[in-house]
Amino acid sequence: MRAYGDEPALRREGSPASGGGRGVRWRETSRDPHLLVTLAALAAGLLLLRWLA
Amino acid sequence: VSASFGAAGAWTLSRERLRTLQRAGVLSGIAAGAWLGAAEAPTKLVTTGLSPVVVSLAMVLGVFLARWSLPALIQGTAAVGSDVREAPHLVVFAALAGALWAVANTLTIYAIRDVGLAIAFPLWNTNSLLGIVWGVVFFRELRGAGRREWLLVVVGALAMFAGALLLAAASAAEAPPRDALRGVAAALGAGVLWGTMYVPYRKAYLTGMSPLSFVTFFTVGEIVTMGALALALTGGPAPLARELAAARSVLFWLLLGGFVWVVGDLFQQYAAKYVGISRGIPLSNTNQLWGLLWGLLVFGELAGASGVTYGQVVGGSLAMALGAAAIALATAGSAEHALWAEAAAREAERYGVDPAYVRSRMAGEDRAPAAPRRRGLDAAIVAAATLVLAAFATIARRPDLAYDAFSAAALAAALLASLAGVGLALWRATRFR
Repeated sequence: MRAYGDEPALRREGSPASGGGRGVRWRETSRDPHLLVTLAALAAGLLLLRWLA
Repeated sequence: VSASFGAAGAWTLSRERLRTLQRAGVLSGIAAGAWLGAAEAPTKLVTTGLSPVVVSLAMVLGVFLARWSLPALIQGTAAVGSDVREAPHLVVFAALAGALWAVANTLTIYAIRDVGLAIAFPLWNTNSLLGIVWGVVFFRELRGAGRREWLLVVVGALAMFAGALLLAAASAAEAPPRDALRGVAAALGAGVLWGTMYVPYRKAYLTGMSPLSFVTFFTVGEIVTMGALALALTGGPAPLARELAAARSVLFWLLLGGFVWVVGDLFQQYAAKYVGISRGIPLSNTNQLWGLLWGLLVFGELAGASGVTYGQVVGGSLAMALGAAAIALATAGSAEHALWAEAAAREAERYGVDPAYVRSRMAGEDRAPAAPRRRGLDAAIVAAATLVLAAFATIARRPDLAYDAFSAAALAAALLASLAGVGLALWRATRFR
């Protein structure tokens, strides 16, 4: 059984957990597929509204 | 680190604890349906000649008041601050989810105008089907679930969709379709946006954020987007101000509707947290059933309608209730929960969130004693929201709408009973985490 805190990725250089800081956290956010799908839906909705209004 | 994973990444969460959380989540989903349905009552004011954009904006203002005051009242702003320090990236996702909500809500106005509520409602209720897809694709929901659970969720969702179609057909007293293509596109668009809005929800709850903290930032995205849309759609600040001033005597009811909506949404958030979006969202979509009850009993809709219409109402209601029951019975077992934990671990790793925080919050627990409350700030927020509501109440007058006071009181009593009962169950199981 492996302790979660021992996950190698958590200790990788520059990760937020290793003290990489706010910049790294934002970089992770901008690469997050969840963000991309959310932004795509929002853009599509705004375009649709523009067409309807 | 006390949180440890087995071979499949499973957190050691007892079967009994899982069952308690599942029960709290299902009850929250059902209560969400009742409160979200009741919040539709003020939209009847559109029939009194109020602009749909003003109705929507005023409700969002009520939502804003509730979403800052209720969390301050229930858990305190200090707890919100502590959640944000653990996972600050979720503020972005919460605000984006709020923006999605506002755009979707505006799309529904066009959908109702162009094809009527009857066609529009079931179309945008497809959001729960999309919620299932995103739940499976992004958050490993239902993977590792048995065939029985899959069957219950899929058949339940389809039964609810069929029920929604029947109920919508029954409420076809709307204006005839004006522009079918535009209306259908608007309704489907709203469904896609609302369905996708659950991605940030689930993301936040897998990471461990409390729903009370999430909605505090959600509402900022919501009010900014709705304000911008209202300005764009009414033609600028001056026309918008004129419309709001003309509606001032009923603004209180719309604010109150927004408040009621928030209570429903909070329950929906807890459902998404504890049973996942693939189960929580279909459950809260029973709001259509409750909306219909308000329409039938309080506002006398369908009075003198044909036997066919009443057949559709009874059939649709039964299909929805059975669908919700099927989904509620599709308990997430420990194998599925282990995969949720894996998805949570991935989130924690990506953003470097403390695993102990993620684990304890996912289990509905807290690893540390509650943050000391900032009583002064909490009290000031609650007092300000109360003052605003009271100010609008003093200029409010009874809307020019016929309604049945006895039925309204009975439904309101049922709402309060669900608030007390489910609120207590949720408090006992999770302390509102």
